[in-house]
Amino acid sequence: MSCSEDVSRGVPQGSVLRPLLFIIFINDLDNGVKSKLSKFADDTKLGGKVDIREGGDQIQESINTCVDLAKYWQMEFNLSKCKVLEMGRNNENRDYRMQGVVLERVTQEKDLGVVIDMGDCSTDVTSYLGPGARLDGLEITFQVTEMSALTGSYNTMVGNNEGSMAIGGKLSNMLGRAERLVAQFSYGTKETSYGLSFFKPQTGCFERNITFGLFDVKGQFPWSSVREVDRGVSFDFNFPVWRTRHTVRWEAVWRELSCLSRTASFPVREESGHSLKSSLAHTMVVDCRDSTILPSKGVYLKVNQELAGYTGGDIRFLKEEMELQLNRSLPWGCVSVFCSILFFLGGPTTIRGFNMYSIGPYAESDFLGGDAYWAAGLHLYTPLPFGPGRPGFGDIFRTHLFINAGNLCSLDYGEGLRGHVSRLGSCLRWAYGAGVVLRLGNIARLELNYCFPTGVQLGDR
Amino acid sequence: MLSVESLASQMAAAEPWPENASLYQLPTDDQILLSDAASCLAVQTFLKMCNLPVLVVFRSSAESMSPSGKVPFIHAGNHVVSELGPIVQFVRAKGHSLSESLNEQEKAEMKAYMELVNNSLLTAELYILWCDKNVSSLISRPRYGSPFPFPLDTILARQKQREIVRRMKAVGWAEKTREQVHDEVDQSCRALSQRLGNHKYFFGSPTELDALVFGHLYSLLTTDIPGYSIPEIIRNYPNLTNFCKNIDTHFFLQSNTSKV
Amino acid sequence: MEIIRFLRRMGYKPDSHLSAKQEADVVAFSALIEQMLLPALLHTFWVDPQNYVELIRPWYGASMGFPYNLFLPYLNRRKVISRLEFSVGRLPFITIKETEAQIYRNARECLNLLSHQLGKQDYYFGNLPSTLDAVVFAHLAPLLRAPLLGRTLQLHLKALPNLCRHCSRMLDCCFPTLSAEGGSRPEREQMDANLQKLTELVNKESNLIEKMDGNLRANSKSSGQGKSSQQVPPDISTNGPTPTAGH
Repeated sequence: MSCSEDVSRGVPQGSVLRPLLFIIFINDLDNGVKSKLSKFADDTKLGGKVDIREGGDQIQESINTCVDLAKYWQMEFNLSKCKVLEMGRNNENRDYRMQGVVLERVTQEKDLGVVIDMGDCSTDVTSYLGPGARLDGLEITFQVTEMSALTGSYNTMVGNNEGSMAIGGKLSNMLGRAERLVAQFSYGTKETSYGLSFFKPQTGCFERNITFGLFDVKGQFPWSSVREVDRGVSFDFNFPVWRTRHTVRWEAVWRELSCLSRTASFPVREESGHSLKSSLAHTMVVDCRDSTILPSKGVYLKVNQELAGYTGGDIRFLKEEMELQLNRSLPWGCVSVFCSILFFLGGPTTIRGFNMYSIGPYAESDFLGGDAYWAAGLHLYTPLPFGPGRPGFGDIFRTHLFINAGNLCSLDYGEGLRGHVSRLGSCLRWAYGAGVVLRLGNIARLELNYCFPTGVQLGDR
Repeated sequence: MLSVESLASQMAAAEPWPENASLYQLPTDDQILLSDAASCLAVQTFLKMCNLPVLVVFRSSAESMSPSGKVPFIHAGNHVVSELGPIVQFVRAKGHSLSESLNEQEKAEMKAYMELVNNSLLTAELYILWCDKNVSSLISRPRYGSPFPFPLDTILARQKQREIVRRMKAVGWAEKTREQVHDEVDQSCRALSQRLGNHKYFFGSPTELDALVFGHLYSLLTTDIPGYSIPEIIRNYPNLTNFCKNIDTHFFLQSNTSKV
Repeated sequence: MEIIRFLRRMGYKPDSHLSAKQEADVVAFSALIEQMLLPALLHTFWVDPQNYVELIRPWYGASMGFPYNLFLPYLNRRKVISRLEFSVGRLPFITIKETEAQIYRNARECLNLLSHQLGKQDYYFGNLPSTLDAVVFAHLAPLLRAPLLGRTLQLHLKALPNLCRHCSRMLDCCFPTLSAEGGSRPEREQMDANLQKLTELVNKESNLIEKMDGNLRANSKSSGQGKSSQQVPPDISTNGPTPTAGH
């Protein structure tokens, strides 16, 4: 050890040593203190029961101990900031002294952001007590800043096939109980869409809520040479059950399909026209992941069924969908398995290496979609191998190794379940590869992959 | 469009008329309206005149399926062609033509008379169906919306009516009265009658003009529209009614009633 | 057409010399012109940006007076555009260029047909003008005579000499004063118009002289032979004096 030196100057302002040194110094402040002592940075609280005379003596003794310790370490308490707050009734109104000065008694003090207000104990408080209140209870008042009533938003989006600009307006807390009215207008390179929705949570239980919506959505799907216009109303009821979230939805949609070009194939042309769908759907979601974009642990399960045709309209179907994702952290990275079932397969969100929605039944050059499908993937994410810029910027990158597989086909309804399963099992498409994933905030992920598609069937792209 | 059309006709010329060619139109019992029925009948007659077999398929969504939004359309091989004009050209590219033997002047006359039918008779039909309040609410809208469930039937029928009324306004027919419409039809019928004279067909042998005129006249004669007396106007020209009877018996031997 | 019908009912019948078939042809060809030629004419005059802005709007504006000249031409233009849209059809994959190309193709075909139909005759049906001649003239004369800037259709028409002659013939027959002045004249071509007027005056003079000459000769030969030169209207062109039909 080196020899000691006298320190005549304090640590400079803003130095990282400052908090560290402070903590070292006051670490043993509670040595010999009998009352309850709690420290938070430079905030110290001393408390105790004073319903008997000895309680107050004990507190005074603790104060004296603290002052002595501080003096030992050549530090001082800031007396102007020291206050006494008495809680409850039957306080003896005793004076407490620190360094010879009587400490000020207050009925209201702000402690770590929370204002504790004892009120005026002499007045009769029973007049404004709510129902079920107890005389020795606490009244907690939350002071919040309300969101502004009207907010507007403006986004530009680059989506699956087009770029668009979306303008939205939101009326929060319309009728005083957290209702929300959202209007959205989206103007894209190809189409424009509108939407209006009204959200109302149940008073007292935010997770139980209803949403009523109107929409007019137009989209173009060049892989099938189809233009789709959906106009409709929807009604959602969300409620939690234990750890799952359930949604029951009724919607009525007027769908208009038309061909996008003169060279659309005939089966697609045959589907053109108007149809009205009135359907009831139920979704159950369990989400225990730690992030929706790049999760490293947790389970995600979504099961959806939709029944159309029995509440009006001229479309009848029953649709089942399931998506399951398992993520697990490994010491050197994390692995994620996902399995999902969608009507259109192919593309960077399902089976990489195949063009967007370009697997499965097709006619000429248009993809028709199928009646059943499955897809699964195994992804391994590791931090960047040579760790540049870690921690901080490098954290949003991951290297990515994957295997995706799946199949999509039309069903022959006479075959029965066994026939369906064997059909789905044959002509498997799969792809494997590696790449880099970039997480953009909490909204999106950017992937750059090199893929090796295998098991390609005739007509896939 | 010229290059697309010429490319399409070149491709069409390469293949003979397929066996499974089909003609798509709206169902006759409950959905089709006068103007579409006339156009469909004209195309059917034309194909029969060319001796080209075609299967007639009835689809409620035929209008949406058609590449130009109008019925009828034919699906032959890989090609989809709609409306009489393009169908005539398509058929000509395959080597069948009814008007090859005509000279330039006759071809010009044929074109003129076809435009007359389109300009007067077809427009009159559309006016009667969609601009007349009585007819549109009693007949046109219910029939047009019949394949769709509520509320789609009213929405689509009104949408169609608005579109047709706008078109009528654009060509100046929206302000016409019933009498003026009758006058127009009368004038066209007189012109057709004078041109036809005592002959069996307009140009000696059957041509697309005969098909078109037959399509419209037959449909007008056999459809009863409340408030309008179009069949009487046509019957004033007996050579036209004979013309319809003649084509009916000659080309549609299977039809057992001709209400002419 | 309403006016025509009204006049017919009043007893004016320019088609009394036509056969039944020819009368029918009149109706048919009028429909043809309205369906195939008129959209292109409307487009040339009202929709083509050059023509509309430089020519039509000032013309109409000058005769309408304030404040109508501010919006009436614009409203008319809108009406024309909607009519054109409906005549050819509106679909998501038919562009405006294709529609315009189709309209002009129809118009050229129609002009060719009209030219064929006329052939070498003076009028469409025989030696006297009929309603069809009037209809054709009404549609072609503005196209031929207006000093257009966007000129494709005008050039096509000028390449059909029999139609141009027919136009001039009708002009002389029915609007002799206008034909002397050489048609309408916007300010822009003042000098050219003046030159034209001068040339035509000279032509008229020389024609008159030749006519008088012819008359004298005819009178000197024998009486009652040949028609007077008034029945066959002289051609007026700016290329110089043309021989008259007198002998």
